[in-house]
Amino acid sequence: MGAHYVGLWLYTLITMLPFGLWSIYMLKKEKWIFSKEKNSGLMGFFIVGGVAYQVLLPMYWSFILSPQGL
Amino acid sequence: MGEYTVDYIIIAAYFALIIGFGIYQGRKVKTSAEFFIADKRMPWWATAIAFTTLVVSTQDLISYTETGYNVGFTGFNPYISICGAVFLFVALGAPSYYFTGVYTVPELLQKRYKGHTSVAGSIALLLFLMAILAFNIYAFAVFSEGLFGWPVINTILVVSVCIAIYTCIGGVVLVITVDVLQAAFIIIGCIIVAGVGVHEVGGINELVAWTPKENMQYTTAVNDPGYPAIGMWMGISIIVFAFYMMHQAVLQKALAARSLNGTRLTMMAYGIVLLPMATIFCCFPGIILRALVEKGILDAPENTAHVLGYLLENTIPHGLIGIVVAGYFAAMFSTSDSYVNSITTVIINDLYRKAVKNKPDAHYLRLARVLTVVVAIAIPFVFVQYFMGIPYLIAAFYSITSAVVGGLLVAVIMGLSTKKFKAKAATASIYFGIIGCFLSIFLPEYFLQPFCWGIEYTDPGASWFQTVAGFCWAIVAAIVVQFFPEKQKSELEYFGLVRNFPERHIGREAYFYALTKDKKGINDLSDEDKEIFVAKNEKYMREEY
Repeated sequence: MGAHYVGLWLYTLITMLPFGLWSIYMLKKEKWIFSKEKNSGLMGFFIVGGVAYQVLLPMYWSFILSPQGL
Repeated sequence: MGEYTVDYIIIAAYFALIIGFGIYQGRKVKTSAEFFIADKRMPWWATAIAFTTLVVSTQDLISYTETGYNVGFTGFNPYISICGAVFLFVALGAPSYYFTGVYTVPELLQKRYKGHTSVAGSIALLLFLMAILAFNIYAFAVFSEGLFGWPVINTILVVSVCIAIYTCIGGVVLVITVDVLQAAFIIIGCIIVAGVGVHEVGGINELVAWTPKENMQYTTAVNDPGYPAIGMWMGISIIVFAFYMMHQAVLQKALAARSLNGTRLTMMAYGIVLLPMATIFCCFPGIILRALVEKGILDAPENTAHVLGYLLENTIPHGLIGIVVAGYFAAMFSTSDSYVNSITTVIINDLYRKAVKNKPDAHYLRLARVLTVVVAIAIPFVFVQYFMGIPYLIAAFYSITSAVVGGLLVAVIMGLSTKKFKAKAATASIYFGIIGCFLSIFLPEYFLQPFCWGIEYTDPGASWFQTVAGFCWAIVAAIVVQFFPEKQKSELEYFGLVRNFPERHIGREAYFYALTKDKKGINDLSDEDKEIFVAKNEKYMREEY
């Protein structure tokens, strides 16, 4: 079961992290996050927060909660 | 008076409210643009809420309740852990869709590839949308059978007629406006079920204590016969990516926002905040019922497809059942009317307008309303016999919708990413994706078993791998056909349709310029105008990179 969880977490990273980081890069380049554009702060919060939660949630659940039997 | 009389009165009152509101709102719709995409005037938070009501449909509430009952939290983790597709849409899809002013995916394919790819895309998309529409209504009919004892066919007929009336009057403006109202009913219904259910179990701690440990894990087992881990995660990944990059109803909701940033905010708010909440709402009733059964408060239900109705019948007081069912009606209505509208959009804009051109807008609007009635009533009956033959609701849903997703996804993502992806490869990926999936449905021992990792093709969970099968066929076909020779297109034909061509600031400038010229989007500009913006783009790219 351990290898299965590591594999699943890696799979989640591969399907999510590249697109998340690319989005941050593209929107920062276009000056549509963390700039003076309307709603740029909110957009930045969503995108950075979203990427962070997508990385941390599977890791937390798989490696901390599940082994404890929740 | 029967035991459900009060509930029937509440449901009837809800119907009257929604249809009356629909008739009132529908008088304001005058053009086909308003009918199809609300003419880009909705605030982002309204489109985000409308988006959520699209996804929190009856099919999710009912089929994921069954999933929650069978496998607990493991059933919804894929939905809250795979939001990469939202980021992909924000970075790649949203600018292209917004600046080109397209209404549908086949229209995007027509601009990007020309020729037969758009027709292939239309066929694939129509199959996909029709199957989801039919399943949405079917799932509600199954729920009503379990709770009230209504025959499935009768429920489908009544519901279809109601959807036809209210959708054909107002189109997308009505759909989005009423969706905000219906979101309130859905949330109230879900809160009532969750609150009463947790109280019946004895609190959250009791709920956790009485939920089987295997249902609290992050994922199911690889060899689970009904919910195999690899099949679920890969199948849901493909569906989620397709959902956000090429789903007609998604685009119509997201593109209804006032600006490109509004569209992006809609998707981000939905993907990061609203979707996890919605998913938990969908699975929670099933988890609650399982805890009640494990604790011995209720007997196990005979038919897992009826678990939601069984839970309501045994825990929720009459009167509140009416409010909760009105909420589920709201979910079914808001999703079904979106799909009916989307199907109508694809047929009118991508097929009919090509054959019958230069008619006044009123002609297309009139036809759209007639077609809405026909689609809403006929489509559910086409698919109902197929669905009745599959044991798990969610298996029925994935087995047919996965038939078309893979190839279309490849065509859209590759087309938006690079100019080098050829039209023939896109067409081949769409058709072979459909062929591969139907082969896996009708000849599973040869065409599905090779993809079933950990289980047999005869197990109920094998349908999860149909999506994988279709997607693999699409990828292989795209790679092989990409090597076939094809006539080169002019660079200007890709303008606005491929990543960074133009860069977004230039694209925004070109978009507003196109609107002043009465063009739908930047790809419709004259070649002279495009050359000006291409030159600006090249200068910008040289300076920035």
